[in-house]
Amino acid sequence: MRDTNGFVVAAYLVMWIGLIGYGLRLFRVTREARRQLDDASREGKGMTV
Amino acid sequence: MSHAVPLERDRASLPATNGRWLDWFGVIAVVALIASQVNGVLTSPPDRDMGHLQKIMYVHVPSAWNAFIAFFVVAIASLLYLWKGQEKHDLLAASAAEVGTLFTGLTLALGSIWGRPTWGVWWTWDPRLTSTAVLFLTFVGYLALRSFVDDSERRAQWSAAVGLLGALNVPIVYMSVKWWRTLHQMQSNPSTVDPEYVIGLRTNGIAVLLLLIYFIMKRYRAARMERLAEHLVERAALEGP
Amino acid sequence: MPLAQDLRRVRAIIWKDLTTERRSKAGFNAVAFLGVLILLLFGFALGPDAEALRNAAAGALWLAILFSGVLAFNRSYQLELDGAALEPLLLYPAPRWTIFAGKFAANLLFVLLVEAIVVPVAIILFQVKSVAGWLPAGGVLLLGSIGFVGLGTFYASMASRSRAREVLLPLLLFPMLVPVLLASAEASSALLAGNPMQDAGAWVKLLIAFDVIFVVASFFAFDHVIEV
Repeated sequence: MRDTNGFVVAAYLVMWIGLIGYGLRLFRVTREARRQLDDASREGKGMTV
Repeated sequence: MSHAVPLERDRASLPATNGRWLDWFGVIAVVALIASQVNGVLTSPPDRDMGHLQKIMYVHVPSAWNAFIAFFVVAIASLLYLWKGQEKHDLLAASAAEVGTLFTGLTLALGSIWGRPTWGVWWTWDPRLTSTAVLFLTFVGYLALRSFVDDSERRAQWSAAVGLLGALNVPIVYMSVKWWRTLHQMQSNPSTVDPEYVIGLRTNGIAVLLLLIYFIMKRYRAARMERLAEHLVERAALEGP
Repeated sequence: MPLAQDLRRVRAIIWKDLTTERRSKAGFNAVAFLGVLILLLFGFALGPDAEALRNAAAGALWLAILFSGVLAFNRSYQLELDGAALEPLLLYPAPRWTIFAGKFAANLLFVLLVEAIVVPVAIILFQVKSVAGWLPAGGVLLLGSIGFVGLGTFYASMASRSRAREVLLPLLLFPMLVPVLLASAEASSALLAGNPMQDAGAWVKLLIAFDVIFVVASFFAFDHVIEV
């Protein structure tokens, strides 16, 4: 297995793809949650306890 | 048995009303991670057995450490929920479980990538890797349970029980697999780390920990917003037009 | 609530679960035959070589028990769910552990009866030559079954009341059973290979510890999950 450097590169790629992928998902989920909250606040006419 | 205390009253009760501080923390975490990785890759000498493959340890091991930290958070948050019945603990547990699944999956993938050139196989039934696989399946089961239960209090109670029992199981699985392997006279992977690599492991470990905290807090914040939205809709429906 | 009253209630639940099961004897037969069928499939999958079969016997046996036994657990709550009887059961002011204890005992009896059929078939199909001590072998079977049934009864109390219950129960349960499977299969293997108890000793200790930890944990957690 001479070309072990390929595996090292693959490992770091996998790591970053995983992290960036999840980061993107987080931004999407946050945006969606904020939208839900804005909609719900409008519906409730901004009432707070 | 007290019923879960509904958490949200209004937007002000959300953690960090402005998510901007949190995102700056995320930027710091990413920068720290890049710096640790660059430092690790460029400055560590090749291992006498593994050569440059040793560098995979800088991503594999911190992922493993932080996966277990995430699961620890799930266990503590679950316990707090069962004890106090406050929704926020349930949401924290769920967020930590999601992020934990990510890091557990990464640990397994990276372990596999490291194992192939080192041992010639994509998988060894090594105690640590196998326990991680069981942890991964436990996390997945936890998330599946949450997705199949609609009532929020039921979901919270059940998740907490499942999370706690799962946490209890992990050390037992580790011990069982270890005995199983020694029984069949399997070679155990050397676990000693050369001192010259320790600093690299620690810095990468801490950087990934910062990222773990960022991910969990961001997911938690989103979960709180979702929950607040649900509450507001419920209340509007109850109070009528 | 005095203990005697609680135990009477446990017995009542066991009786109720078992008699409903007995009236549908088809249920038991189906599960037992499924266990046999699984053993047969393992036989085909692992090849006709006698040595290979003998080595695989304990593992195949335990997997057959797990896959067929899992069907029993959701069913034990099915009866209440179909008849909307769970609420009345919960309204009655008695400690929840009696419900768990009753279902656990009924399920354990059911699984042991299934094993009474599956184990001899495994010995025959997998050409097991001798068993070093039927009593220790029976003990390992019992200990493994207790762990299996305890956790199965607990997880089924949730899975049976959620969507996708057929896949959710194994998905939740099987990762938890890894130590049981390892310990039971290894201990059974040692006994089936004619090795005396000392090889199996450490695994038996693990089984006992596992059973104690998780049956107790299930009892405590059951209170939380049955209420909601």
